[in-house]
Amino acid sequence: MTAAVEEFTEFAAGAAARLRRTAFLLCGDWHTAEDLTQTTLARMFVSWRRISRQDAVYAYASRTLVNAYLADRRRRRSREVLTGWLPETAIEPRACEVRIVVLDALATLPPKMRVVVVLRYWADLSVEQVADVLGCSTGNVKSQSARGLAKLRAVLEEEGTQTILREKRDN
Amino acid sequence: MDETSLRVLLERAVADEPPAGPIVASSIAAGLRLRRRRRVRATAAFAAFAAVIVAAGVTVPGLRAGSRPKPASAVSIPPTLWVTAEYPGGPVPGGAVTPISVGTGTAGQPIVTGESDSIISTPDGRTVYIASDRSGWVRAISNVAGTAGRAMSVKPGPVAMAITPDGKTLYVASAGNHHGPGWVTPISVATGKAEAPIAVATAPSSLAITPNGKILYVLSTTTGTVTPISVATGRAEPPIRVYGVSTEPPGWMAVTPDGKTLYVSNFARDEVTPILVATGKAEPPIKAAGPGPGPMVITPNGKTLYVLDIGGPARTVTPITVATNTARSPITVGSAPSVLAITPDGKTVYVADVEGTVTPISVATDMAGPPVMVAQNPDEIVITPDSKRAYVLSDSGPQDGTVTPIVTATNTAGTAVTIPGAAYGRMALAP
Repeated sequence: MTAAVEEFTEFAAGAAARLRRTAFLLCGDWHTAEDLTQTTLARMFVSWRRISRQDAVYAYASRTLVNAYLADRRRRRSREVLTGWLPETAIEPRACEVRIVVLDALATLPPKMRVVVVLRYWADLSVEQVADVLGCSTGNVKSQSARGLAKLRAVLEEEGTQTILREKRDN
Repeated sequence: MDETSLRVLLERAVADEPPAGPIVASSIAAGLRLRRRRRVRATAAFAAFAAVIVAAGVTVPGLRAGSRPKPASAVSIPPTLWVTAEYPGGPVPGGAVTPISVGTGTAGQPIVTGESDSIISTPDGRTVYIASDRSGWVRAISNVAGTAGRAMSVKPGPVAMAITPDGKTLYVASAGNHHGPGWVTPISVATGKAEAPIAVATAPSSLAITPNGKILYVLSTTTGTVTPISVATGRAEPPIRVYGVSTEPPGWMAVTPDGKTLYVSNFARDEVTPILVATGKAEPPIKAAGPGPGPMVITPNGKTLYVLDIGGPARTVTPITVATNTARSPITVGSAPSVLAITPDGKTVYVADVEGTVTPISVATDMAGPPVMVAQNPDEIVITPDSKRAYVLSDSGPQDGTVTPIVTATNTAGTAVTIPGAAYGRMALAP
């Protein structure tokens, strides 16, 4: 038991930050991201004995996180009020601007498409891995990511994100 | 905008990350709470099976497999409650099963078997099977001789077992690595021989058999499907889609005593989906009252399905009228209910709560009675075929499990028995 808990703690300490960031890009707020990460890790702790024997522990974590996010979305749909405003936090203005623009753009995507975009382009999962996480075909993942990318392109280019990007690259 | 630009933008969106809370510690705490609730999985799978057994037109209605008529054999089997234990660092290394005599309430000598995760009894109570998820074996324990048979290898990761009402075949569901195909292995109870495994959807989690013993249902939570298998031919039918049965913990199943409807609880979507056995089609889901519908029991007369709401702060049992598939007013129980069971006489539903209480609910009135005190963290309830005693297994910790008997006539707790190493144990009553 104790050895398993130690092993889990080691995994969780390593994976928590990355999971929390993925969750943030999925849900768009750090508090919910922390909740989703905790739910994910708690569920993994429950089945740790079984999970730890698998090769793809992180893929399992992604799957659990996505499931938690999608379930959360379904539960919240009725009572959630979407606003364009994020909680006030004093931070460096440019970073904030990018964040709001990107999160707003991500928020225009349907939940599953958002999952595909975040897992492929942020978490760097392969098409096969994303298909496995979502339990759909690779063709579906490819079409969702192409459509997601096209939609983001339209929204972001309108917002003039290109300037920010160029600055970033020039630096 | 190309893929590289998108990656840069996403990186920048998470750049001003605020400091995180103690995620790891709180996850472990939450995980421990969740684990207590998860232990109900095997019980729930069993409850579905039990509902089946009750319906099998037997002389003595019973929740347990023991409700079948006695075998022709002259050897009478004293009713025994078997409890699995892992014994981490305890007196018996590895794992064991401990028999508790229902007659005297005393624990016998543990039988060393190795660590096991699920346990089930044949309808006649002559054999108890245990399965080890980690080691990938199934072992038979003779309830007559009190000895364990050799370990039979099955497909990796056996997670659930079910036995046909005629007691001839044991089905073992294996989840493998939870990503590839799942398997169901039929094992002949008479010969102990395994037949060719049947491929099913990824990550099977529980099994249920119709009362006529013709169809075995395999629930796969990852794919959100229920796969029917014909018991006669051993062939899997196309899976029935019950979208997003649940994320974790797994969904639960229950079959009505008339064998017409299979109910699947859908934790994530707050729904219970009826599936018509005859057509294999999912009906429109029933919106259950409480968040996170989990384990279910059906009254022996088939009129009411009781659903335990285990999601979030829920502490309710929702009765659903089977005839109309409509939910009645939820019944509030305890503070964090974990598992429920119904007496074979159909009079009382018992609901265990992690606080260490068991609340009786009168089926006649849908009213909860005063709670009975048991050891903390009860995980499982089994009730004798005569409905006289309910046994509650608690994770009394740190490694030990405690079995508390409840006299159902008076709803009073009897003398508890502590089983070393049974903190995450399971129980089966034979016969």
